[in-house]
Amino acid sequence: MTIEKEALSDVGAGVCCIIPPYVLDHLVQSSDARIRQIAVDAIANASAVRAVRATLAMMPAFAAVPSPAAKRHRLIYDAKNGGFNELPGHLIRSEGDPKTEDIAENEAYNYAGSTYNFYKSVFARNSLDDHGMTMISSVHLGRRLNNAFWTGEQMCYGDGDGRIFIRFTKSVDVVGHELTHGVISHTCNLVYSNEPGALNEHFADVFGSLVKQWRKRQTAKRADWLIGGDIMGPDTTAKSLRTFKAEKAYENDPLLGTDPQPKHLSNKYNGSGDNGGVHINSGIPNHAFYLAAMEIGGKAWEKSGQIWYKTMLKLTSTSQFNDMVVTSTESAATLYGNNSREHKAVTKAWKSVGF
Amino acid sequence: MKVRFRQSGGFAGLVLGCDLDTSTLPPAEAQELTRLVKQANLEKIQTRRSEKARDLQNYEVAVEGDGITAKATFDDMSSSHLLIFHISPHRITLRYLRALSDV
Repeated sequence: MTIEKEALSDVGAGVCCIIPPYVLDHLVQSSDARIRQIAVDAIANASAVRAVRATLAMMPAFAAVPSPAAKRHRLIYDAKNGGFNELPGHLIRSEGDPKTEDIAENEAYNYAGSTYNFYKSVFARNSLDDHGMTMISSVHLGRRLNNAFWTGEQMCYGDGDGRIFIRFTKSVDVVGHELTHGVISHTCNLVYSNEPGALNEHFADVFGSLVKQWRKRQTAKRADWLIGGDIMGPDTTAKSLRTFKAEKAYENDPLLGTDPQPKHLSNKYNGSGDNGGVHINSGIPNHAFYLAAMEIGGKAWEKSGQIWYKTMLKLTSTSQFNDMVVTSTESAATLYGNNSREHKAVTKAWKSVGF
Repeated sequence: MKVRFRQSGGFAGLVLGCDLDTSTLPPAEAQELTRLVKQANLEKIQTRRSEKARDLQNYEVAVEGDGITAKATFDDMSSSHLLIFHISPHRITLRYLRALSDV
């Protein structure tokens, strides 16, 4: 299929505004006057859409879908293996509806519910925006998609390729991670690159892991501190994707290689991949959180979680690792007292990872 | 023509990719790669990022030779409908596809 045919079939389907500008630029130069006109019309539409999107990106709260009663409200959609521009897909379950036969749907619904309940009961936070915004999830996105992500408005889950990964809804920490990206975008809104981006990933992992620990009522000592432990497929030796502990989550795996996360500042990744290592360098603050939680003891969401939640609310979009260290240490002192056990534990944890 | 492909990010944060040189590929593959690169119009893409999205897979394609010098970075959402090269993480196979149809 040629570029022109593909692009035109989409124009014909009335979804012209999603054709990327470069394809349209190409079509504008077509020798066929009819094609040129379609492209010119589409560019006019696309410009308007882009302007709206740019405005929404600046004000995430405006993009939130208000829920009917400003309380827990979940909507689950089936993307039916469709692509990114067919989101959200077909609505298959609304808040309070009976469960369906679809396992991914059940998990997305239940774990979004757990995440909502966690934020509500532990931090008195009412959904991602603290105003009861609707939590929208799409399952079965793409074909064999090895990913789960937050679009800025909703969660999306792939089914995995069945080899490296199975369905991404299976790990509650993955669901908690994705929803926390929504919380972050409504609070400090950390920029998604370099150190602010690694902190964004860090908070998503911390609260994703805490949702899991809270569901199981586990102490820090008993928790596994793994991320993605339930989504690994049969062809990998990896037990999880990431770990908060000092060791590697996987090493010399034939498919995945070796876990790239550093656990000390001296091993920080400085390359440009992964938006400047946002999923890589998050290993450093992740390990600090783990050390603090272990030192403080008890259930990690009770004290360490409170310190980190307060820190998340105080940081700004451009906060660096050093700001994180200073703010979390201050938060520990504010919450539990200067030179308290908690304050000392946080200071010691950051020191252990190189700060 | 030299082609460098990198995939990074995503929830898993895995870094995959390959470096290809048409002078060392079998003639049929070299020809196909050159055709795909030219058709993809990489010069026009440059950088496309979905600002609000998190955990998307990022792609970087750099091409040099045969009169083309281009580097494009984009992600799963910004590349919907873009024609990209898909390189399987297991076997290095180049396929011509729409990013959205088989990500």
